[in-house]
Amino acid sequence: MSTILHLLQKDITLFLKDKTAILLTFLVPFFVIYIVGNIFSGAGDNGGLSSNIKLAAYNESGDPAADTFIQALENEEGLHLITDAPGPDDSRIPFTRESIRQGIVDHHYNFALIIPQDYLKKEGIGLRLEFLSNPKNQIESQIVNGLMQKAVYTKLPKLLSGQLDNYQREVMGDEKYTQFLDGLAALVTLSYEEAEYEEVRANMGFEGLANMLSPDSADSEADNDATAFLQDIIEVKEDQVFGKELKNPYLTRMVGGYAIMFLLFATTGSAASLFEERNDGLFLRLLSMPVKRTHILWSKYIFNTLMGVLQALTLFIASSFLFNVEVFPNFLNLFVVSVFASAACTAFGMLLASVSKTPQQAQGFGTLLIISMSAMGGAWFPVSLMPEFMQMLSKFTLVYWGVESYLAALWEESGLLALIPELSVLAAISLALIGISSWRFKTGDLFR
Amino acid sequence: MLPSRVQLNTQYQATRHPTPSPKPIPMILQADQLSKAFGSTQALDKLSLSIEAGSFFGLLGPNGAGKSTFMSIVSGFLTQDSGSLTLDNSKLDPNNIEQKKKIGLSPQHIALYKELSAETNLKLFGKLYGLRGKELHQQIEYALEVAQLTERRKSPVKEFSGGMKRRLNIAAALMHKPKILLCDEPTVGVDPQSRNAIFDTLLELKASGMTIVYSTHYMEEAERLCDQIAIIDAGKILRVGSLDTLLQELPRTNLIRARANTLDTQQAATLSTFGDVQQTGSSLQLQTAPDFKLSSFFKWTEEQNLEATHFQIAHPSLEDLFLHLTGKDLRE
Repeated sequence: MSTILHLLQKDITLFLKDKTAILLTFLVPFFVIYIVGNIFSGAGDNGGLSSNIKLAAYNESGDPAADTFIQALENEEGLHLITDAPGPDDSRIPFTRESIRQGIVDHHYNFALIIPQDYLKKEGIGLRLEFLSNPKNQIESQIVNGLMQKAVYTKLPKLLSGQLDNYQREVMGDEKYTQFLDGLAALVTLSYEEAEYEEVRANMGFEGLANMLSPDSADSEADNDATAFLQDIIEVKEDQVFGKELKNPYLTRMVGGYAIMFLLFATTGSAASLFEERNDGLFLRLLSMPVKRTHILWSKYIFNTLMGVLQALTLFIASSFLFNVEVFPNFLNLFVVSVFASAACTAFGMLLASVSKTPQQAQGFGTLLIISMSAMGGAWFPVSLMPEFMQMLSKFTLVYWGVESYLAALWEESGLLALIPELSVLAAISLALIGISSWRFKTGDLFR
Repeated sequence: MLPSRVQLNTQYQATRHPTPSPKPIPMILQADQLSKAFGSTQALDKLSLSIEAGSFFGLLGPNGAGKSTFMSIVSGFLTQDSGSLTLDNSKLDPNNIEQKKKIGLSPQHIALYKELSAETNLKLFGKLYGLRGKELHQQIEYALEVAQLTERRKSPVKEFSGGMKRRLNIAAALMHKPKILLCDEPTVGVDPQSRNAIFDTLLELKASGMTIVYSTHYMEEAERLCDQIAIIDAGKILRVGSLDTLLQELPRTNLIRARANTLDTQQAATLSTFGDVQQTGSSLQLQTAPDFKLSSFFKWTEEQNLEATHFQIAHPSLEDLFLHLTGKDLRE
């Protein structure tokens, strides 16, 4: 027992001598809970994800009744409704069928609703809607679908009431239907002492019923009762802009994020290998030769980038054979994205090595930053569900751009030209990190 | 006596051991007021020395004296805070490739890729020095011979014994035929047989005209190998010179240790005329006086019937000199 205590005392003493390790011990959990807390407790008194998903809406019918539906969507806290498209000179212009779809292709938003000109069925009773989507993130898609259903069902009575009255007039004849409603109103007035005939008559018919059931609220019990029997008369025409034909959409969505995390953890290991070579005296020997620090750094950088590319491609190819992720049709794009993503992740690893004094510090900093970046960058859950501040921060992480690049290559099956924006950001991140690393390697501890 | 081949540090040259030479001997490496600090630790403190071409120059000092820091600055790994270095009469520039090709470094660590074979390590280091083709092949063969590893050329370094690794560590520094070889504690953790093999190799290299700069905290190695020895402590050169020259710093006394019966008061008084006496039980230690005569001492022991069972005459060593200069032991 005393031996164990002596050894334990040794470990504690060593730990207390490393001030950075002490700092990281408390900083890592604090920072992780700060990030995760900001992501998950953004909205509502009860916490939960603060979704702010962009949804474009276009009322092609021009019917004011359809506008009430769009209004209901706008009132949803989880949605950020967009009702017009960017025009020339910072102006906004109304959507068209083409422009609202192009907005998805151009990644301005991932979901769009069109209320078509013939949104009320001419024959029978029913409603037609068109829903365009790029469901590259499943959680996001499910949330949008849920909020859409809620809005549709609560506003459905109002949307369909005129149509139902017309239907009755056709079946019963205009005169008989009017007589029926007059009689019904008189009966109701007689039954209730406080009722005024004119008021009761105004609420007769389906339109009046809809007004009573759903005056303006979106959450009454009456709404739910009304929606229950109307569910089967809504026809939604879906247009999935990207990812429609994929065999394994779920894994295709996720695999990019995990590839980036994998690359980041691998580069942390490569940072540790730099310390090994330093401790073995190999840097001393190499630098006594006609070798410069930049030679060592670039050789390490290129090697680790290549290893990252190989490992990422192996991961994707395995996912293709094992889980039907469609890798080979997009292999060139995937290869290019892997090169840029691996280069950025390796640059991150080099930065870790350059700012750390020991492999343990590199490991600590690495864990802290990788978890934070993965959470913020959308590798675990959609960025659009985070508070705006976190969404803004996420764009400063290489995970975000890596995930977006892989989604563009695999999910959207974009061409190389379409990948240029994401790849440019990854290249810029790589250059910035390598620049800082080079400066730190000149002044830091790795070559001492 | 080993030839004096190092021009002394100017302060000692002028004041202590003037050794005028009719023909100036070329210096291959000169350090002038070299300083380097790591935080609050002053690793080198205005260190100045000159090393003559073709000499075997020892840097003798305890751990932490600044030997490795000096080697690291000369090899270009570290940059000095102040002061300058001159290699072959040109200011040493860490980015000057031609200058780097004149220097070979055998670091204190086994600075080899342990997963790779001896031959692959040598090939890599040779290529980094710009060797190609036949020349590269020849130098690999030469280095393998020096390391006595020709038969084990394909074996990974991790399978070698400590002595084999040390030999290869030196041989790797010879791939480009340097003019000056820096050996930083090359015998640490090596068995006596391998140590002798390393000594033989280094002496052969010296005989071929190569300058060897050898850092050690073993005085026996410095005494055995070095033409010139610089005693270094706390980043400062305390003394520079040949072994004989350095030992002249010490009082001209010998130390006689003996085991004998306990002395009576009169015997002790007589013995003290031969020098300073210390007695612990049956152990006697006599620091001889300047006019000490060994024959008189033995005659007296016979007259006194001192039944001495053991005599040892100890000469002053570098260890004693270091103790004399710093007040502390060389191996502390």
